[in-house]
Amino acid sequence: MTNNTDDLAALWQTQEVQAIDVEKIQRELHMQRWKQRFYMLVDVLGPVPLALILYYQSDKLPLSALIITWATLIITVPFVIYFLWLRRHAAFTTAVDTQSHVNVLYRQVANNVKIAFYTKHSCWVSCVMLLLFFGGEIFKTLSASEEGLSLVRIAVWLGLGLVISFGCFIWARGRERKFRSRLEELAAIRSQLE
Amino acid sequence: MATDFAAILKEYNGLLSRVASGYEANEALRQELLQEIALAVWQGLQRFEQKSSLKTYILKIAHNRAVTHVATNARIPRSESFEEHEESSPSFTLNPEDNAAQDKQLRALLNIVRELPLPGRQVLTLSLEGLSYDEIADVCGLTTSHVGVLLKRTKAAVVERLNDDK
Repeated sequence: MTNNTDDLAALWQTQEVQAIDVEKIQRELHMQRWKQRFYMLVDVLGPVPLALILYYQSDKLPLSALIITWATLIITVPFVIYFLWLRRHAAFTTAVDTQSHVNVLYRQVANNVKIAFYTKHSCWVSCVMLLLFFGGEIFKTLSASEEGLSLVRIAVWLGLGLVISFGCFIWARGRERKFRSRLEELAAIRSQLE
Repeated sequence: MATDFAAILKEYNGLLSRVASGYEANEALRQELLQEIALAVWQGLQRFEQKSSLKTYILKIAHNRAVTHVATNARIPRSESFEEHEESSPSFTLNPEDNAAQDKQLRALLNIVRELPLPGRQVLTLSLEGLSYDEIADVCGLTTSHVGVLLKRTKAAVVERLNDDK
């Protein structure tokens, strides 16, 4: 039965067809469009709290906090522009050949591994920075040579900061593992295509 | 325009379903993959510039989405369970025994295809969909002569395994 191409093709064509749910796709597209707009809005609104703090509170902030806020704002703005650009381009599906697709996918996942790796390490660096910053404040409060923040406020901010940083660390570590396993699979696919 | 896309998806439903079945044995995941492929095709249709035939263009998107699916679900086993197997469309020209034999052969073919390395799998399934060497080369990013060699080798291996399974 299966000695020539026509037989094989005829057998292949006998497969039972699963139906595409077109309405579900239309709903999905609609939702994706709104999600995309929402993410863009979140990206744009990201630096707003920093700008508001600087506008309304700059004269009340200690110098160290003022420097950190300005530095964060300056770093954030180019990232927002970059993310908006990425989102605009990520929305398009392109029909390239499989080899190019796998290469692009490999580079994307490799970048995701890097991003997750740096995010993971930036989390514990944040913990160290928080401890240093609030350690300085505790020292100032206890020595009472300068007016510092109250110990309760320090404990709340420090605790909150550490919990958030630790949560981000766990999240980034999970993402790094997930992307690494995906990268391994893509490396295997790539080696088959070479 | 939106209704045109829906009509195109309906027209190519069988083709897309077979692409999904070449990559995924699990029925639920296969349905999920089919929806993902259809979504990608819909998005891709907005950028179709008629540089190739619509069928080739759709197959390019579909195979790329399926490859992404394989990489994303790397940890999920792709072998089918006993209870869960593909059935062929019952042929009214065949008697029940022949229908069962065809069903068995189709299952064997699908299992063999899913175990093939990606280039061989793509080249073979695209050929079974009636694409020319040039069109297959365009989808896969291979040279036409490479497609010819690969297809001949893959087909021979598949037929041999199918005959062994009989």
